[in-house]
Amino acid sequence: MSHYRPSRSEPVFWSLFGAGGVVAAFFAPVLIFLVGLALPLRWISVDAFAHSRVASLMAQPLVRLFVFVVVALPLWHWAHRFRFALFDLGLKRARGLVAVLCYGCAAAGTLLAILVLLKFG
Amino acid sequence: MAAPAPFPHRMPRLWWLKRGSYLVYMLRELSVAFVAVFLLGMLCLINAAAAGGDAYGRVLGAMAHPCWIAFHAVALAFAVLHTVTWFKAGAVIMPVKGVPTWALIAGNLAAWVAVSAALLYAFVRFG
Repeated sequence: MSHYRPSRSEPVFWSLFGAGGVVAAFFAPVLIFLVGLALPLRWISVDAFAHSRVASLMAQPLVRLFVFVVVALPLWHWAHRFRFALFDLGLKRARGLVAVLCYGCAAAGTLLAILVLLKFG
Repeated sequence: MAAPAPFPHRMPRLWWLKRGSYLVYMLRELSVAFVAVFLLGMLCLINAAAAGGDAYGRVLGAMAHPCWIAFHAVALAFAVLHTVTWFKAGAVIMPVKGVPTWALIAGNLAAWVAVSAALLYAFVRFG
């Protein structure tokens, strides 16, 4: 029977999982509500999200850092969780490949976030 | 008497459909996938903002499509599920001596409401 043996890098990914989980827990609902519902459905003033205002907000380094943390960390949380959810769904082979794909996606998303946020710098 | 289970025991693929609590567990695991997709979408919007007012307006218009509204409504439900189950799990995994579990959960939920209200206020007030 195949057993899962955690690798030496496991604590790194688990820590990212924990941090991402906290960030997602605190910020995801309100952000989804604001950006996904309130803004498109005009529940709040359009001026709040006017392009000029967003651009001036994103020009501030602290705002960019906040956005980076809020976007990147939950991606690592998803990756770690999804990797083990696949185990729960019965996928026991190709464990190395699954890990590489999951964390690779998170790494790609993190890099994308850096590239996008650098545009405002 | 029923035939004994074969060895090694194979877990049925849909084991998580057999009980309500198993299904909630699987939904919990799925929840962060919706959050991740939303965050990438938000990154797209921010990227469009970097490109200029026209691009930004186009992405905003696309987001008003009923499909995206429906997705975000579902994603919001999943995000709240993640938040609640995360605090519940955290209270069990990281207990604080002398503090009952329900107090830890309630404290985190209160902090979550406060943070959310602050963010909402900041955006609405300074718009």
